[in-house]
Amino acid sequence: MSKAEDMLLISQVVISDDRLAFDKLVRKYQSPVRRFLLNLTLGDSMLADDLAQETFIKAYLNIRSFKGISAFSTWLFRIAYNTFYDSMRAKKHFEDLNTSEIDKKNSSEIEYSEEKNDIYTALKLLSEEEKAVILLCYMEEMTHKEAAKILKMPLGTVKTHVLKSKKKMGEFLIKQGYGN
Amino acid sequence: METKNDEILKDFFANNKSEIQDNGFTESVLNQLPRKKVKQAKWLVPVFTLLGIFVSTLFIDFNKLISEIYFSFLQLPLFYYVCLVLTIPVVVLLLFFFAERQNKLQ
Repeated sequence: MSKAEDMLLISQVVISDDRLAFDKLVRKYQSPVRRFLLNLTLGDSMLADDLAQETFIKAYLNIRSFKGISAFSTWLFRIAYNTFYDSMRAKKHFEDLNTSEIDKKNSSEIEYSEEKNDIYTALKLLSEEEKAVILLCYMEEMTHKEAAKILKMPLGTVKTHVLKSKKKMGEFLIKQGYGN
Repeated sequence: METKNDEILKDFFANNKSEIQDNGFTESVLNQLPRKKVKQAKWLVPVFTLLGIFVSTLFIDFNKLISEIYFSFLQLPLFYYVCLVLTIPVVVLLLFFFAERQNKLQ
């Protein structure tokens, strides 16, 4: 589905509250948004899905404010990150997130391999902002500019976060035997 | 070193990138969407009603009209009144049915 098709679906939602059009948009973007949130929450699939639902509901309610200057995915990821950030701030969840407990409790839909554990352990080494930057740039394959738009950060800050995260994660992954 | 880290990270994230199956997620989102109120120009109804009444007062001789209505009612057979009384609940019921259906569709 191209950007033009996205815009057509968005206009249908705006003009005639077409839920079928919104259904198509959710189906298209549910996987990347849920994956982004799943990684941000370090594998808490229940929390990630709740946040993803909230993200799409917010997107639906505020779809009139989408001007089409950036891509719909950029706008959607911005809402997702804000939703995550608000939730974490409200629950003071940052300190309480414990990967191993979450793995046991909430990871019913995800098969945890050694690599999955490694990804969450590696992400734990990063600050929240670094985590978001690295996930957008490496996992979701976005440009630094797009990541800067989503996270409302200066481009230079994004680049700094990428460099720092690469160093921290790279060292950890080499220790774990990756890149041999 | 930086290039190596970059390659390791790219490979690592590429290997860990998996598509998340919908599994009813979209349906659940759609079910939770609040109903949007479609903006209607409701002000048009009373405004045009009042305008219509005002315009009609300019053309109608009300004394004559009322007396004609009164006499025509007197001349109607009782059967007509019975029909009228029976029609009212049917019309109200139909209006109620269509209003409910309209609410469900929205």
